[in-house]
Amino acid sequence: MLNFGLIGRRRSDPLAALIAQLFGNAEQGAFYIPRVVNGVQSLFKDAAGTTPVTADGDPVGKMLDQSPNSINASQSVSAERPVYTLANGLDFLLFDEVDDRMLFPFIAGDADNFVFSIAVTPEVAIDSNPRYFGLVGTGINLQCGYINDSGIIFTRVANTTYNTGSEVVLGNTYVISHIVQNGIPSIRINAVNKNFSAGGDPTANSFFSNTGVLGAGYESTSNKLQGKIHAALFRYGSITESQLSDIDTYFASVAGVTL
Amino acid sequence: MTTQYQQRATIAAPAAHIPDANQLALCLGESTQDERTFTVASYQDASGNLYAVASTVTKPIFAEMAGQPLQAPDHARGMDLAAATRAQALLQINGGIATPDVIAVILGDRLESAQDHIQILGLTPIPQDTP
Repeated sequence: MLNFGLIGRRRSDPLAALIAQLFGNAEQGAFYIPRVVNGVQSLFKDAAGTTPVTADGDPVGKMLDQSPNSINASQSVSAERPVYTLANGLDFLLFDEVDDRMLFPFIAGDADNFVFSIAVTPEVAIDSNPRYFGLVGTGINLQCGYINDSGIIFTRVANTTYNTGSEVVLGNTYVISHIVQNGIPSIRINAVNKNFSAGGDPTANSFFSNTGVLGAGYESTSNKLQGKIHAALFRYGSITESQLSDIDTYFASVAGVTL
Repeated sequence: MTTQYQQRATIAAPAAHIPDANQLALCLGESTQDERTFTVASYQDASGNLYAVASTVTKPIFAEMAGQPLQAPDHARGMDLAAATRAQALLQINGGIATPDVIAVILGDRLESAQDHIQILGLTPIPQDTP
């Protein structure tokens, strides 16, 4: 009876089903959705998590990990907190490109099998600096990723930068997955696998960080995201096409993306 | 429910005043970590003067407190009140472009863009290296 009950709940709750599917075998990683999840508060104004976010326009100092791993994202500096926004029925964190970012502890894992997925709306910025939206660090030499003015998405694996063609129109929303499987990087945009081009061998190891970041590239004051983050996850381990498809479907639903 | 954070403040701290500006941020802010509000001077004005910029949503009381005698808040009893007071004396709210001798603040509605504020301040980001 209990099992039937759980199966029924998961079928009726796509988020619970997706989390069980991705993290049900003790996989490392985290899953962030900036809204109340199943009636449970997931956003707080302060980094300690004592004052709940209750309204559109509140700053966010802590965002709870929805995976079983409790890798919560936080921001202890008031001015660097993104703003929780509810607009047209969609929940997201709004980043101001000046100083906003959410940080989470980076946990080293299998460098050859990894996925970082994000539902993001990069906006047009006033400068040509790239808009970073996420990062994980030194342990696996992986950085993902940033978007330049030409709509090209970059990522870096093992000291090599990979880039797409011009895929992104600034102001539109995308579900983007940076995937490393058996050591081979690839990228997926709105459920479509895209070709990657390797470009050079940059020496910028200093760009790496042991802190995971949402809304910025690395531990500096530059290269911030101007835009919205609707959902994000990172996860170690091999991943199937079916799992990627389920991520695409769920992230698209919370971000208002038509796949 | 309506947010209490009805305004956005974008603040340009000239490079020479970053330490004092951080003490003011600690005094007017909500976190013990607000002394790290201004870090790298990554913006410049037309003359090449450097500024650290912060932007955040604020409660209306921010502007009121900025004009009153400062007191160390509960979250930072040991703060440098003299430094914060020096920074307070340099505040210029909605006075236009940033200059090296003031801490320029653009204070507007919460829905205003930080980037629009920065344009009013007459600042541009210093181009960054990309990996």
